[in-house]
Amino acid sequence: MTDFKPSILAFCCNWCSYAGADLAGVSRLQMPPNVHVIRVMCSASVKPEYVIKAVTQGIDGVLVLGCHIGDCHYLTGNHRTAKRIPLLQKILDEAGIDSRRIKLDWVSAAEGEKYQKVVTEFVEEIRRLGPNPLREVRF
Amino acid sequence: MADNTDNDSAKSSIGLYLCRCNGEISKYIDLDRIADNLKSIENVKVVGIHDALCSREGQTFLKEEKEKHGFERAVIGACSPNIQGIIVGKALEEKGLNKYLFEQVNIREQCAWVHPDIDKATAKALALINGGLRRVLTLEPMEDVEISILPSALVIGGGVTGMQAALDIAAAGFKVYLLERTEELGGRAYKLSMTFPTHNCGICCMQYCKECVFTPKIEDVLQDEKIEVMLNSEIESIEGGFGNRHITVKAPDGPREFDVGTIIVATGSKTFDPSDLPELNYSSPDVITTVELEQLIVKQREKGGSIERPSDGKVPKTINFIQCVGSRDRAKGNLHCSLVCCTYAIGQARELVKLIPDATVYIHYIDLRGPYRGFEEFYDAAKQEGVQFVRGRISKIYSTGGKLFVRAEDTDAGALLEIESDLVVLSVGQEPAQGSEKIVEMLHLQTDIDEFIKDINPMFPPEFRRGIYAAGCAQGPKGIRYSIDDAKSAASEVIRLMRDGTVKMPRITAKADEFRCRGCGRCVDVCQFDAITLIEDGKGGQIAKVDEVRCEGCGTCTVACCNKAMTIIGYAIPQVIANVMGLVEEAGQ
Repeated sequence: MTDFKPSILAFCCNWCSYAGADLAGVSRLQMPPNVHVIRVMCSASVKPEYVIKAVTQGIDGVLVLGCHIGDCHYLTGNHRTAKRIPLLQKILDEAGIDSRRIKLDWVSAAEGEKYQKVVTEFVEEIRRLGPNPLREVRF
Repeated sequence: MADNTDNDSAKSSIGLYLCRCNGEISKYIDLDRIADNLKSIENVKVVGIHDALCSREGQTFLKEEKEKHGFERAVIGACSPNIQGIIVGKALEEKGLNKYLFEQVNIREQCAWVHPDIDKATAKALALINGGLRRVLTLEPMEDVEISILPSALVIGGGVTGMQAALDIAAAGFKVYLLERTEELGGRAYKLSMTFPTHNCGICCMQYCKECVFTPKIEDVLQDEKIEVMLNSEIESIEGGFGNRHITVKAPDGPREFDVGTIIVATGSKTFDPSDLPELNYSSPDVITTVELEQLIVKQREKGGSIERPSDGKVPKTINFIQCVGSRDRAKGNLHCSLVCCTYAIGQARELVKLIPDATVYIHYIDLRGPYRGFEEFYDAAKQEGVQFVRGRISKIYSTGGKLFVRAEDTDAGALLEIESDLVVLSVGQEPAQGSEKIVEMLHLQTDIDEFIKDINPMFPPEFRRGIYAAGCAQGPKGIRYSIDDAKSAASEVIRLMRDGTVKMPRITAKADEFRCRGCGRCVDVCQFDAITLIEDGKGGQIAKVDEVRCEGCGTCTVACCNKAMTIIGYAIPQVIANVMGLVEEAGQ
């Protein structure tokens, strides 16, 4: 299990989290290279099917990162994300996929350190959970 | 993946360029390995590596490559698209690349700079670029949305900021509607007895005098033919989007309707109400706010004689100023510093010392904050004139036996003080004006943690949000001078926008698929910007229609739609899925 290299996707909103990830880079905050960022305009535009697609294709974990509540560039987009993701987690749990593989968090454009922390902790968590069982199936 | 792009081989040729960023990227990522790996991919026509694509040489290089190879789509592996993407994209655009067929993959901030292991970083960069390649194939060529701006402006709030903005816009030849809620122009500055730094009457900000000839004048505003002043008026509704908004105003002589191209929000601020803090004993007649002291000074100036305290008309001999009332303490008001209170309290203290030569004036402060030119001299003059500065918070103000006491601490002397006081003045802080939250909601603006209007970019104050600018105290506590600064910069931006007449916005907007939409209206319910309406589809049903001017492209509607009819241009399902799949191909091994 020591050579398990989790592959993780992170959906980052363009205005806060993506900029936060950039800030982490500018500040040279080192982190595990397992997280791959996909830029979306708002965390509220992350369709549950994107997450499901990733998980069914063998991705070990998915991060959804948005602006802090009250800070959304589109006023209340992240309120919807905050409702949708727990629902999605519930559905995945029902389907036999550990919902801890999906994580929702808020990272502002000024929180490079938080981005580093979220990424590092999530990679650790996924490492503990082990590889996605769907990795071998991929449907 | 979209079929129409795959069938047409000329259209699906990609130019892939990687940037070494003068070693910043190539130090941590093996770009040659990436190039070797990816050049065999079917659609990739050419792979190039350059030292710095954002430099002048880099742009020339890109232009030459575009002419030589004639690819239709481009992927750049370089820094964050939010940093240099615009420059790099422009170079290719000049040579005929549609800018919507361009994808910049971030391999510097989110890869090279954060992963020390060259092998792992290279593997990640490969996955990211592969995702970008998959994605770019699904993109469709687009044109920017062109929005026309009506040549008229609405200024909300007739204080110093609003008046200055209105005067500037009118001077540039545009029609201005100046809306004021109260019955007179001038706002709060008009009621001040004196202002910093001239230490002269506040009315001078409004009338002609040699001290401040450059500040706005009420008469000028009223006489300007281009400015339509509406007093006692409030906004009823705002409809429409960027460049053309329909305003309905509730005026005393009936509702008034007009269209404007731009809006300046100058709703100003109000002062903190200290009645909620019982320890300040504000119910006692001789505990007053600085605003009330202003009125006493104005009254004295009109009537002559000396300052009289409210309770019995006696001339106060011991006066205590309490700083930071409602500021800098979340438990007792607001967390933010109101910026102007130190300055105005010192000004008032100096005035009182001048008017009542035998008075003792104390200022109880936490620390003095006056980041203005001339403040230190102002403070020094106050000390020379005998104003007593006491560092420390006060614990309470109480009255016994008809006398008023201030219990304070002097942290410099390490002593507790019990000062018998004739008059206590509370230096109240600034809060957003009453009713401003209604305007914020109507205009879809954001407020910050302190409830003032939030800047799009805190470094660039006049940056706008779709033709709307916030200026003056609406945007945060400010002094008069800085409000006027703000008004002028907002006005100049508004003028520029209206002179151009049109503005181009990236077409990242929602689109409704006529065939898939069944007119349920969920997208209408979730849209924050009222951009979606249901229209008749001509077959007896309804379909959603997106107003491209109003839509800001967040994509909330795309998730709400249960029939996959709503998509965000550039972030449609196949486009995001392609990106996911590209990453999975490389990273999911």
